[in-house]
Parts: sequence; structure tokens; C-alpha cells
Amino acid sequence: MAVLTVEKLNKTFKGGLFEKDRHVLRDVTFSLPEGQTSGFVGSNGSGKTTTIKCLFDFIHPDSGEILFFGSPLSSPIKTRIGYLPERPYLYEFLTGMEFLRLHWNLCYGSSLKDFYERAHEALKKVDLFEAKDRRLRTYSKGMLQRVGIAQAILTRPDLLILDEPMSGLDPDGRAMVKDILREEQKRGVSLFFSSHLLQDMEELCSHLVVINRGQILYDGVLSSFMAEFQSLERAFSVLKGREESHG
Amino acid sequence: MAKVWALARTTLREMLREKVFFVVILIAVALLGLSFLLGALSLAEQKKILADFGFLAIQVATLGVSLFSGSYLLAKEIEKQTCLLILSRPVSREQFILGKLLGVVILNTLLLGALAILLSVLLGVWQESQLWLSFFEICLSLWFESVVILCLVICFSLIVRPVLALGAGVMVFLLGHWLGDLAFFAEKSKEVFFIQAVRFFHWITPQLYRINWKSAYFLEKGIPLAEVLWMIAHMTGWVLLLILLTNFFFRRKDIV
Repeated sequence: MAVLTVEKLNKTFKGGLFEKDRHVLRDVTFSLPEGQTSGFVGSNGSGKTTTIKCLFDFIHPDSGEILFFGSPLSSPIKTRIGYLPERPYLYEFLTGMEFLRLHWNLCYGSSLKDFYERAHEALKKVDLFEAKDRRLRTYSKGMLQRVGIAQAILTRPDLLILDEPMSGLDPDGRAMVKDILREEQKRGVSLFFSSHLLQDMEELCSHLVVINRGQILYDGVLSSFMAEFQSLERAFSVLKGREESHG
Repeated sequence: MAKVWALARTTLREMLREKVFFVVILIAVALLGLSFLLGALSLAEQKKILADFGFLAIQVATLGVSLFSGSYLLAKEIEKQTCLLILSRPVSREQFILGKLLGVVILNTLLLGALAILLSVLLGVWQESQLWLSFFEICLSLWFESVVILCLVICFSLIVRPVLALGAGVMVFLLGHWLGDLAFFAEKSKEVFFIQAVRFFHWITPQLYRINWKSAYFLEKGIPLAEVLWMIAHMTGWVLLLILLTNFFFRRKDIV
């Protein structure tokens, strides 16, 4: 069963008085297989973040259907999904532990059963256990990204959706995030993360979704994609070239 | 409700760190201090001056918090995108708004309560038990006024920029207090257009002039019950309407 199915998603942002409307998603259709890591790749401005924001209804699509585990987004479905936005801005006056507790409360109400065990587990995974009582404003960019990941994995979700989880991180930070994602893979979590860096995809993904100018160019197994084009860079430029010559 | 409460607690903590909150408290305390000094100059009118300035201080403080925090409450969440993580949880947009709103309302209630206790001590309200009721009713009207202005500014901030929302809040506050005078002048002028315009504004503006009870402190029997009940119904109606409108606009908004 697909953990996520997106069917003919369209979105146009209305222009101002002297601006044209921008059709940013055009019949976006793809699906993510269960228990696999899927990469969502595309150039900057290709529609990755808009698509992810549509998944959570932060941006209302004009048309199309989105199904998680075969059902539309709802509160019970949301408890099965972990999410990290691009450049996560967090409530910086909270400590790491308070931040996780807020997210726990938003999922399970005031009950703190299992909270401390799960929070400690998540913080240890992202190597922030020692810093758990420090305010987020004292965290470095890498630490903020990691505490963002900790909140995403706090509830042991079945599906993790991460928007550019490695953007802006130094090599050590990137390596640490990749290790965390590999650990989640081992746990059997379905992963979906966006990036414009093809190397990340090759290292982590078994499934690939390629988007360019709001259109899906490829949705399938990474290995067959690689076999056809030898390298991801080449594949991406060939597909973009094809699409642009059709367009 | 636990989710709304979790959001309210976080908002309260966030607001308590805002510099504007401390500026507002400073202004309120300065006004209270000034009222004490001015009152000391006039033996006969000492308590009246103290009560006038004291209630003004409470009004300025609670309105200040409503205007400044309300105008940026949702706008900041949307601009900084801190709301994305919250809304990715099993939290509806309605719960999110209620949580944020409740946080500021609690802050304003605590602020009003603290200033009211201070004023009651300065006025020696406990020595004149018949004035307790008026004192409480005035505080209640100021509380309702601050909540209505807060809801209004939050609602506007989803349509226009925060600064304009703040300006609109001030405009509605002034208009709501001037409606009575405007109606009087309209009747005197006998201009049909003026009369109709004032009637129109009566419908679209909270009638704050009818709950301007700050100078009613010395009424021994308090404010008539019918007036108090009207105030509660009128202001509750406005709060509910504004929350509904805010939810309507926020539900439709794309968080780009």
C-alpha cells in the first residue's frame, strides 16, 4: 500500500493588480511506497516546498487529491506523520525539552504517559540530550535542525516528511542528519524528503520523485532511473531538457 | 481543550518576554503614580482624580497589550512560519487561533487583575463596601473592551499588514467611544446623510461609549443591572462574531 498518494494536484497563486497568476503545480501526481525512503528532487523554485505544504493543507490546492495511508488528512492521520519544514523557525524561548512537550501535548493532550521515555530517546538520537534544558535561542543552526527532527520522530511516526532537512548545514551536521535518517529507515519508517542535492538522494533513497517547474518528470525506483541515465546529474539534465523542449 | 490550553500557555510565556509588555506596564504604573500625586494636590477631589487616572491606567495597559500583541500575534506566526510545525500536528486552525487568543486574554486578565488590586488599595475600596460593585463592574467593562479590541485587531491582521491592523483597532476604539456624541450631533444637524451614516456605524462598530463607566465609580448602587447585562451580551456577541470571522479568513489563508 502507498503511504502517500498525490493525484493531479494543481495550484495557482493569484497575481496582484499588475502581476500575472503563477501556475506553480501542474497535475502533480506521484505515490510513495510503504517502508521506503523516497527523495523529492528538483531545482530551487520547482515546486517542492509548495507540494509539501499542500500535503498538510498549509496551502490549499485548487484541485487534486491527497491520501495518506489511503485516507484524506485528518487528526488521527496527523499523529502518524512527522514533519520538518524547510528552515524550521521554532519558539526560541522554550528549552529543548519544553519544545518537545508542547508537541507531545498537541498530539496526545495533557497525558504525559510515555513522554519522558520518548523525548529522551529522540533527544539522544539527535545527540541533544545534554542540551535538553537549554533555551532554543542558544542552539546553533545545526542543533535547531536536529531538535526539529527530534520533534518529528518524537511520536514514532509511520511516515516522516522532511523539507530540505540538510540545507544550510555544515558537513558534520549533514552527516549527522543522514545517520538519523538511516536509523529511522532501519525502524521501518517511510521517509519522504526533499532536496536539490542529488548526492543526498543517491545515498539515502530507493524511490525518487523528480519535479521541475511544477510538473512531475519521474516517479519510480531510483535504481532503474540510474540504470537508464548512469548518473543522477545526467538524468536530471536530460529530463529537464526534454520537458523544456516539450514546453 | 488540552491542545488549546497548551498553545495558550506557550503564547502567554512568549508574550511575557515581549518588551512592549513591560513598556505598557511602565506606562500604567506611571499613570497610577501620577494619579496619586495629582490626588494629593487636591484634598477634596483626591479620590476622584485617583479613580479617573487609575481606571485610565488599566484601560491604557490592557488596550496596549491587545493592540500591540494582537496585531502581530498571527502575522508573526505566518511570517516566521512557526505555525507550520504546530498545524502539522492534530491541531485545527480554529484550535490554533483559540489557543493564541486565550494566551493574550489570560495575560490581559492577569495584568488587569494586578492593576485593579493596586488601584483598590490606593482607593481604599475595602473601607467602602458599597463601592465594590461599581469597581468590579468598571473592571469587567474594561476587560470586555480589551478582548473585543484584541479579537478585532487579530481579525484585521489576517487581511492587512500588522501596522494597519493596529491602526484599524485604534480607529474602531475611537469610533466606538465617539458614537454617542456623533449620534447627538447627527440629530442636531438634521442632515439625513449624517444620521444614516451614524446609524450605519452603530451596526458595524462595538458601542464602546455605552460601557465607558470609568467615572461611575462613585455610584453607590453600582451600574444598573440591565446595563451590565446588555454590556455582557453586546460584547460577547462581538467577540463571537470576530472569532468566527477570524477563523473564516485564517481557514482560507495559504501559509506560503
